[in-house]
Amino acid sequence: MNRLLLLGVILYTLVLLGFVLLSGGVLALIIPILVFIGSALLFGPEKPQLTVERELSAESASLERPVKVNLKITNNGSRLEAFHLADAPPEGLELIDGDAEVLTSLVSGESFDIEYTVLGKRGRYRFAPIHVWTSDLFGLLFRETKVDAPGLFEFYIYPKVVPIDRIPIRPRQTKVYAGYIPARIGGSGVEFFNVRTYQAGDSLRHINWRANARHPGTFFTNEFEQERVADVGIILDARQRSNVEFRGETLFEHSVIATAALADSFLNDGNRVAVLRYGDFLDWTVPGYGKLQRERILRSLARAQTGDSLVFDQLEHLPAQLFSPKSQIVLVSPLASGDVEFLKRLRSRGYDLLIISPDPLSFEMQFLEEDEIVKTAFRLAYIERQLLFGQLRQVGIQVFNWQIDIPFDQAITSSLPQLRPVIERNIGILPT
Amino acid sequence: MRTSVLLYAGIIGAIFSLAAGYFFADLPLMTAPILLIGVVWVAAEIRGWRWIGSISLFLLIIGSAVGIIVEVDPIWAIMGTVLALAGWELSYFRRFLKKAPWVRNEDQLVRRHHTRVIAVALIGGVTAWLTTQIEVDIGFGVALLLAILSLLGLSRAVIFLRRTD
Repeated sequence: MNRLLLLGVILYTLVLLGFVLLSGGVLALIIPILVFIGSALLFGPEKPQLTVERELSAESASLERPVKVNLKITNNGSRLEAFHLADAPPEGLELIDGDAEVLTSLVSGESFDIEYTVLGKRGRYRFAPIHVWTSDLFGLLFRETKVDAPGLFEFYIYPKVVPIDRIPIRPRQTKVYAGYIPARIGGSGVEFFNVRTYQAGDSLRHINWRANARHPGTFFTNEFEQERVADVGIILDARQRSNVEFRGETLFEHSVIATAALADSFLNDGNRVAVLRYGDFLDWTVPGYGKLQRERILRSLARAQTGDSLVFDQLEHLPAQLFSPKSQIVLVSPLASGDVEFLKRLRSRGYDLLIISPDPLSFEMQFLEEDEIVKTAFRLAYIERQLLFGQLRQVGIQVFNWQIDIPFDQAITSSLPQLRPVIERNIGILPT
Repeated sequence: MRTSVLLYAGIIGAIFSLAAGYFFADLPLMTAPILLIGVVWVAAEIRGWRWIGSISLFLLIIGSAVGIIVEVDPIWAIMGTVLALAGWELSYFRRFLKKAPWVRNEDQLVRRHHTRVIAVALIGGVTAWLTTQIEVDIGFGVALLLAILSLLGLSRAVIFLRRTD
């Protein structure tokens, strides 16, 4: 029951009793209550005039890194008798230290700080306006307002970026800058590429003496394969239908981890990397180099969620023209039925395709009890998946099936030798 | 001084004042329900049943009014009312503090609140007692006029004080 209402009821009862019974003594009992209410009115809450500044220890943080939030509150208005301020951390952030709420009184011009620490899951977080309740000291009159804190009001928690070894990619088209990707062009490099006739100015150290001996009178020189940077487009499959969710865990998180690691690795090698998130809508991070691009990609991944869309239900509507012709495309997807045909077409258009496929079977098996039915279902699904991989490998698409019970960095490192021969075979099979 | 001590002192003081009033007015039977209300209220405060406090306040003030009607000395009835009001207020304040995860300058806040409750209780109690000592014969029309004037005056005073605060 509202406290002021209760006092009102008591007052009316006393007045009624006093007048009905013509008792001045009863009416006198009203006075302490009136003084009480009058005092509350006198020191009652006015509209608070506050300045609140919010500062975060970082604009973005990695998964396990706590973020400190500091609020500086200044009272620019009159005295606030009882002042309750609550800065609710956005949903998904866990308060691990300090308090986001305070009860105090504030004289005019006074300021104080609140500091608390939060830890959260991957995501983009937006701070809501701060809730402020003011009341008189007797708690009879309340006033609730919301105060906006200017400055930084959103921040990102990035996915975990695990360092991985260099992924052996070999797109047909490379850029002009030096890098680590064999460019299929002769020149200075490390790996042997070709033998050609000697030209003036060629280093004598590179003369192929064995070829010279076979063809007297003509000099031959060794050519090495140039290594350059390339355009790499990473597609993150965020379709609800291809991602499995089980007991609050989602396979999509693994896809995000893989995408972050791959983007980091390709950027570290100097490549130009773009990321396309394909889910309920298209989120395109335009190609770029270096640390700034890494930051852009991580931001995009931080806010990545799975979603359904009738348009993007199949990969058919993936705008491949966003990626440079003959560049390297890396698809991070658990793969769904019906994806194969599109991927084959993409390959036939000259893109080099690498598929990193977080294994939905190993993901689901974590949560299931291994009885006969589950084992049979697993075997069937496994065979279906292997057939799908077979179809993809037949057209020269590299496929890496990631058993998600092994960390991505370890899994990909141990699979690099298996990935390489596929690449080399591709060169032999497909015209360059 | 701790809020809890003042709170229980307020409740017990209110109960004993009213009970004493009835006792000295040769109505000892009436002390039993008063004491019962007190026991229930104290128990409710210990157990954290918040609504009992409001009901107890209502019953004690009605008890005080009935006491005045049945010739209990007004000083006991006024003391009962004032102390019950203070106890009820302190009970709320204690809950209010407990609910807040962090109370900044808690000692200062509590001290100021205690001072204000005591001051309000004293002013209210003394003023009420003084009104019972003054006897002026006035007609109904005059009383009504005075009541309206006092209400208007109080409102203006509150507005003025809030503006200059």
